[in-house]
Amino acid sequence: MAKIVMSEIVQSVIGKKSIDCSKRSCIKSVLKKLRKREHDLKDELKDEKSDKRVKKLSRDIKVLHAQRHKGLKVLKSLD
Amino acid sequence: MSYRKLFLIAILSVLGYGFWVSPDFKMIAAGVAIFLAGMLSLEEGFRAFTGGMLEQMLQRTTDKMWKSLTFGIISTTIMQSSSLVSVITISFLSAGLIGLGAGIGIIFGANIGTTTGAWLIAGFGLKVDIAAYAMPMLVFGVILVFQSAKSLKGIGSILIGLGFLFLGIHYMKDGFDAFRDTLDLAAYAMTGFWGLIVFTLFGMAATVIMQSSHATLVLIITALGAGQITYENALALAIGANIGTTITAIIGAMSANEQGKRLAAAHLIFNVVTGIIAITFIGQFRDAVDFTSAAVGIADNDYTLKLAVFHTIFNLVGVMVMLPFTDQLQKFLVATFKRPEIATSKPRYLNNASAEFPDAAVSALRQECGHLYENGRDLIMRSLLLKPADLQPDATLSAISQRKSPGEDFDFDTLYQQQIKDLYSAIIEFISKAQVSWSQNQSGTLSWLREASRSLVEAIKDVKHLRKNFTIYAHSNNAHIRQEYMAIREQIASVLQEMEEIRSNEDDDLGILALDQLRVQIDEADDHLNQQIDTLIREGKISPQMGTSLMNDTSYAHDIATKLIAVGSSLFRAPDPGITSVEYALSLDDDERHALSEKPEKNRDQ
Repeated sequence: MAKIVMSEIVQSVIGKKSIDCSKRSCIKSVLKKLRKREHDLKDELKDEKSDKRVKKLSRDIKVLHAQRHKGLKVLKSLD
Repeated sequence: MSYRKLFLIAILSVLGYGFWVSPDFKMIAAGVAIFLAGMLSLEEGFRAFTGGMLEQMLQRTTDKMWKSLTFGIISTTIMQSSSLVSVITISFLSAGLIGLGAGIGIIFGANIGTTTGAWLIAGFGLKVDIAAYAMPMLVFGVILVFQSAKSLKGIGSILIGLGFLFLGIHYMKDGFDAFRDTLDLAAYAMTGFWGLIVFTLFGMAATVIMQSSHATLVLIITALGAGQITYENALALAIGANIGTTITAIIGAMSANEQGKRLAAAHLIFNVVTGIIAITFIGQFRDAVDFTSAAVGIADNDYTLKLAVFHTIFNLVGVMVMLPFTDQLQKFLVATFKRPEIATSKPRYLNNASAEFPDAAVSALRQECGHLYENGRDLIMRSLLLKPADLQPDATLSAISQRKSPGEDFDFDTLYQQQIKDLYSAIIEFISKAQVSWSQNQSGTLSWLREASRSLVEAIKDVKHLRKNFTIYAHSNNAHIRQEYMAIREQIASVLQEMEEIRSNEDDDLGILALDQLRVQIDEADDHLNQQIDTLIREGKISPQMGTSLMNDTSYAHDIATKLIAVGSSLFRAPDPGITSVEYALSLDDDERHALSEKPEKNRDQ
């Protein structure tokens, strides 16, 4: 929040580009972690035998995928 | 009448008598008072800059001993107050923001940093017309203090503090110069070992009374400069001042938890050991001072600067001696100041020390909300007959005995009062008393934590309602209704399991996004349960009365799960506000989650 607030102060002086830079770097950082998490779960799903666990992992992967998709849309809107 | 009041009356009486007898004594005492007022103003000024930058620096620069040492040296040099640095460190330690090792490093560094005061006074304060510098500082400082901006007020307080510091030195210097004509204190000098011990004790006493080693050092240096005390006795007084300064940390630690007390003890041990080394090897230290002074060009008869050299050397030696034993010191402190067995209903982290600074208070609150969550989780588990092993990831839930065990009957209201209500009240009280001048970021965090606490308490109250039917139908002869209530139990257990997994995963700071997976899971479970109720009633497997109970309790279960997730949204926030903001932006809304959740099959038996 502080970064976003500070960015808004900078906006009036320098312009929108500088705000988007700090937000952009945060989004990229989050997307990177989500991608890693999704890959880890996919690896785990390959060897999983339990039906209950397979169902859970599949659901979690779907959620991560949706979050990454949303994040990429937000990132694109900053360009 | 208490001892404190008696002591105060005694001090005031002695001072009053002194003022009446000697105007020169009055000037010296006024100089000390002005100096101390300057110290207070300086601390006030630097406190205005806490609540952000200082705390962030403290957290980032103290993961290694050399960094902690450097932080202690630089911060004390800038703020000219080892007491303020000690209080900040104890506050942060109490709140769990830094570890004991880092705290010890800061204290060691602060002891070195505080020696710069002696250099400033001896090298600058006594050699120039210091009052000339004080006047403009006071004028500008007063103007800035009346500004509305917090940072300008802070700068104003710092300038006023410095101005009073300089003015205090000026009056003490003039006072001792004038005093020389009426009374020669040097005639009362004591030599040898007993002189060393007696004047060390004087130094300790003076620092304990004035609560400031800086003030004592200024007195010593100005008295030495005026020839009122001998160089030998001045060295002893400086050793005593170094030991006496630990009293501030000890007083600060009284309202702290065991971590704060450990640090105060570390401070005392360090300064006492340093003092003993200095007293034991006083001859060798004097020789080292003479050698160093000659090397840097200090005149042989410039005793004030040589005192500053001595002060620096013996603190440096103290750090070099104690540094290799830091680990052993930590082990000793942990073994001596054990964490007391606190009743689960009492706050563990909320205390006056952690309330001193905004970031420390926020950290303490966050941990206390975690404590409240643990109590609430345990109460929920007990209500639903869950065991600790049931919280392991993907655990198969422990079966419920069909015969009621004695432990199943407990007074929910009494346990709620003992485990939840008092702790919740303490958290709300702490938040309410939090300083209103905190930054927007910190005030926002307080709101989240208050909401998290409220959500948890509401979830627990829903569990109370759920429990009424749960305890009946969990042991019902009707296998279908029993199965549905086990499904509710499993739903809530899985939420608690996931929460534990997120809590324990310290490397992953995307806790808020992880909760989306839980939300989808709850939505699926809720849809499934509702579908089941219709089927079971239609097929006559449960009575309509059972069905309505199940509908209500399914709703309670959904609310409990939702509120627990709301708790997680506040407790699992990433330290970086930018990341938290992005997490909220990427978190799936209701429509997006419904699109992902599996729709239940029409007929479960197929």
